[in-house]
Amino acid sequence: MAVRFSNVSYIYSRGTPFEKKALSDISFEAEKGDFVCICGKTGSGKTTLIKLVNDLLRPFSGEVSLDGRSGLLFQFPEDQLFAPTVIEDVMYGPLNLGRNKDQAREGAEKALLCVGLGPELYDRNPFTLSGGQKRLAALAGVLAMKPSVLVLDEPTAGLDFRSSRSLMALLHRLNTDGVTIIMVTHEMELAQEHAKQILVLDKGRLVLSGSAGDVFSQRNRTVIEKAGLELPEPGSSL
Amino acid sequence: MRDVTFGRYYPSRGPLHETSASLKLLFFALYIVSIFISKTYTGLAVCTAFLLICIFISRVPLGRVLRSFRSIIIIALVSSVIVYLTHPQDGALAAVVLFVRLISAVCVSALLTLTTTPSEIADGLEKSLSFLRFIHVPVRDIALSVSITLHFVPVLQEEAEKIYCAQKARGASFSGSLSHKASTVVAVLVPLFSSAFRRAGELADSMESRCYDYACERTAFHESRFTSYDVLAGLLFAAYFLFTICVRLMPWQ
Repeated sequence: MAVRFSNVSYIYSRGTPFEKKALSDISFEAEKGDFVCICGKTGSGKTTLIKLVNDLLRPFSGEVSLDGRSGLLFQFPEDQLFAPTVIEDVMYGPLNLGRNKDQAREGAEKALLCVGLGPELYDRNPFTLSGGQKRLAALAGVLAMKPSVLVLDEPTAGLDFRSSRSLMALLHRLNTDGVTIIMVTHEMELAQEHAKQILVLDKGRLVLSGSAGDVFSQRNRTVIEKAGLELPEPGSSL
Repeated sequence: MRDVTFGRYYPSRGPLHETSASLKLLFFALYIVSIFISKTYTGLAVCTAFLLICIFISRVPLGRVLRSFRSIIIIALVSSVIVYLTHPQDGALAAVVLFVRLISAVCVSALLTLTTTPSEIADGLEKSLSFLRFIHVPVRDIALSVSITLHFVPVLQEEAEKIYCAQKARGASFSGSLSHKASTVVAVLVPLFSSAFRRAGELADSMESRCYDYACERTAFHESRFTSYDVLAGLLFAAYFLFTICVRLMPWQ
């Protein structure tokens, strides 16, 4: 059991007039090697949920347990690149974890190889990379920390079809290698093709959970549409 | 980071809120002048009374106003005590004068920002300083820059939080060694600056594509007009100011 949420609730700005209950009573479990997709429209609590996995936020009530280390990739992660060279940026995570320079460098090179960025890019300024390359560099920065649970917020947002496909193939490979993946997406086709478990959020509540076959059946149509989503087109896949 | 309320505006509908921002700025400047004109107990009493009346009618909770000089009260007290002890002649008066001036100045600026939104202040500044156009100061463009800045403060604040979260997830934090803290600052500021420059470029393109012309005469969507309210406020303030001058010129102790 890699990640478990037990009756988790989260409230923003508690005690102020702007108080908002982002999550109510969320419970689910992800086994090691699981591929979980969290679907929901904007404001449903998806981002709050993944911040809770990583301990960036503490639950107001309930409990979050995580077995191992989590790596978190936010939306549009290319915004987080800051170092003078690509390799230094990817080394930032491992260095913060306490590795020495050589270990960090080795880990960074491995991570960059994994995402498909070659050595010719190591000493480039990250701001000179293309958008897609920046995103892969940011992902490498997270992978270099060797997380056992990888949490991603809309990793394919803004990517063209080909890049999206190759990113999902990469995630699939990582998953086969034993990394537990929790991915937020509003693209139901992606969830249908890749997820072993799907969670649907509506206004902070978990309204559906199960395998793709269970969740995306016609009998759940009303619930899914009420959550602001649509059933994936039958037979379409990315 | 989240709790800094920029400008500390308190929404309400009191007489101070309704007065035009440009008038308020003028009154603010003249009030500061008035507290420096006053050098006697009587004079200061007049200024303080006027300030207290303003606070009372402002419809802003007293706590908010008092909170404004929380940061300066220690300095004010210490300075007053030093003046009292070291002044050659009338130490008591000098100390009181200093203390009242400091506290009043802070209080009246708090009142200004509590009853005027940042955009109103920017517009008011533009109106008040528009006479500088005649000596070729680009008032309109400065005012536009100020408005855009104010508009983007919350946007960039949110972006900074987002970037900080992302870096925290990679092990950044503001605890630990000084070099670690320093690297965290870099890890947040560099992406933030990059993002700010990118936004500036995008905004410039978007304004140009909507035919923004540097040299054009511009109108505003919200025209602020002088109301009878402002006339009344102007008369009352003028009365106060003249009274302060009288007290100064005819000191009766």
